[in-house]
Amino acid sequence: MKKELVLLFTLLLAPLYALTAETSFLTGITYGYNDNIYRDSSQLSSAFLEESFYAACSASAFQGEAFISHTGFVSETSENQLLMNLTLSYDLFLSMKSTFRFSGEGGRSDYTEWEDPDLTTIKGSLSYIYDDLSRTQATLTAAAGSNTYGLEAASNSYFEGAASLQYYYALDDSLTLSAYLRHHTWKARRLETGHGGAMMTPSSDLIGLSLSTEWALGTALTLTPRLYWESQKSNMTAIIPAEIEPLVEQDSDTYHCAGMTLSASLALGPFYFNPSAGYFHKTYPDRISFVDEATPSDQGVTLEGWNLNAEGRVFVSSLLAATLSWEWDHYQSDDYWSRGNGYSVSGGVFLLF
Amino acid sequence: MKRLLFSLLIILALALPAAAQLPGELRARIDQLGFQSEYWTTYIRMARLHNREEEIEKIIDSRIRFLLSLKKDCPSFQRDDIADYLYYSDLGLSPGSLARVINAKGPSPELLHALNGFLSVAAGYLHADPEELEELAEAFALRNYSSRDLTALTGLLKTLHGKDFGMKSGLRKQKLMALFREGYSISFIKRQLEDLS
Repeated sequence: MKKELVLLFTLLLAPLYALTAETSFLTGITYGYNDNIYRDSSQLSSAFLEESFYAACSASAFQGEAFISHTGFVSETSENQLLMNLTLSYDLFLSMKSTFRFSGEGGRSDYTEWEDPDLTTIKGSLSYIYDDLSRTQATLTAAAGSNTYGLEAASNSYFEGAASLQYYYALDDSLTLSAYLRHHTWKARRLETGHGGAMMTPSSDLIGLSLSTEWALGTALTLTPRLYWESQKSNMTAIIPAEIEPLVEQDSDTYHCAGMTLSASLALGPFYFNPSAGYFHKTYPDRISFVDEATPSDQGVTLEGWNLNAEGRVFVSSLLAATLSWEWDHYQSDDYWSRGNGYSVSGGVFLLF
Repeated sequence: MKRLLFSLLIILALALPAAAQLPGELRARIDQLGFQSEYWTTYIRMARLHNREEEIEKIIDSRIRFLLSLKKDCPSFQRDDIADYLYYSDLGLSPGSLARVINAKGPSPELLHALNGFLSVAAGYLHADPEELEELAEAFALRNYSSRDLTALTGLLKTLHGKDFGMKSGLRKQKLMALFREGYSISFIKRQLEDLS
């Protein structure tokens, strides 16, 4: 672990010293409670204490950010977790209107009491940003990455393409349309019985569209409604069981999803308040609903999800801030693996220097 | 008990005006210049509250000089707006810069409030020093920006500060200063500032 920390800081600090960089650090301690936040099937509820450290540095076209956090849970069913993430990006300015952005990201999630599964992520991307200097900005991005789990069956690699267009139809109000495509590939494996024991490479293709607008109401309040739609075609239903999905933190099956969110940002002097509400409707046409852990039904899986969350921040001074956040999720479905309610509440103190 | 409360009220009633009393010489000078305003009594009350009594005369004197200089350079100087003008003096802005802004953009109270908000956020959230505030005010006077543009930037700077705890303040200030000075469109500046967070 020490070796990884040293590596992370070296990666961040090397360019920092090489360039005359502006640097800032944020460190915080958060205490909170998660209740069943990962749906009924996971039954995870525990108080937790998180210590986090965030560093950002920038020098002309270069930017670097590093994040380290350790979360210790009271409950024995939740594993303590160490998260590390490093992002570096470099902007190549072709003109005021055109920019190439090179970005690289590496991260590691380490469940400190388990041998497996850990998660190591790597991502590289190249973006072309065109801005007309007036009302419009267009961004095209190509990215590739991999997620390597201790549980090998879950490891995957992907490449994606994304395009977004932001248009200011008024001084304070903008409309953003985004589209993205993603292709995931898992390791080739032998299929389960019923498929002749053939080798197969599991893969999925995702397409997504999102439309959002930002309304600024005076200097204190900004509202951001967003509509989105996603559809994924996958050949993995027979290969990756539903039970490991929470572990890989990703929907691997074929699905169609539509949803909406409404978030607000309110700034009143040293007080900040960011509430958000969301709803989605999701169907898994190839998946069979389970009545309980072991009993399949003849129904497909449909899931409706509601989410409410809010975060408040108060700046006690320019160096010290306190936060309070709350989240509530409700997933309604006939499927045992999909349904559940949960909430999370936490409060913390952050020091900026 | 009633007698005690009554005595306290009398003491308070006597103490409050006394605490806000303007030194005689300064009062005469202010009256002579025509700079009478509620601002002075409020200022003195606050200065005494913060144990800055010794500085009162010196500071009031410098504020009178600020107003005199502004009045000389700015034909639309309004006595009723003294409190608004002096807010810029608090921020460290020179009367010359303020005069150039008012002469270029007009003396509307809406403009004075928008510039107040913008410079306060630049000073408080981006840690801009008086020279940098001066540069922003000069750029506002020269470029084709409106008070509505300043309000939009003020809201954005506050929101971004809340989002990242002010971690990118230094970089945000550099970007804002460079683009604002060159007169780029407000929506472009907003996108560039958001891009940093």
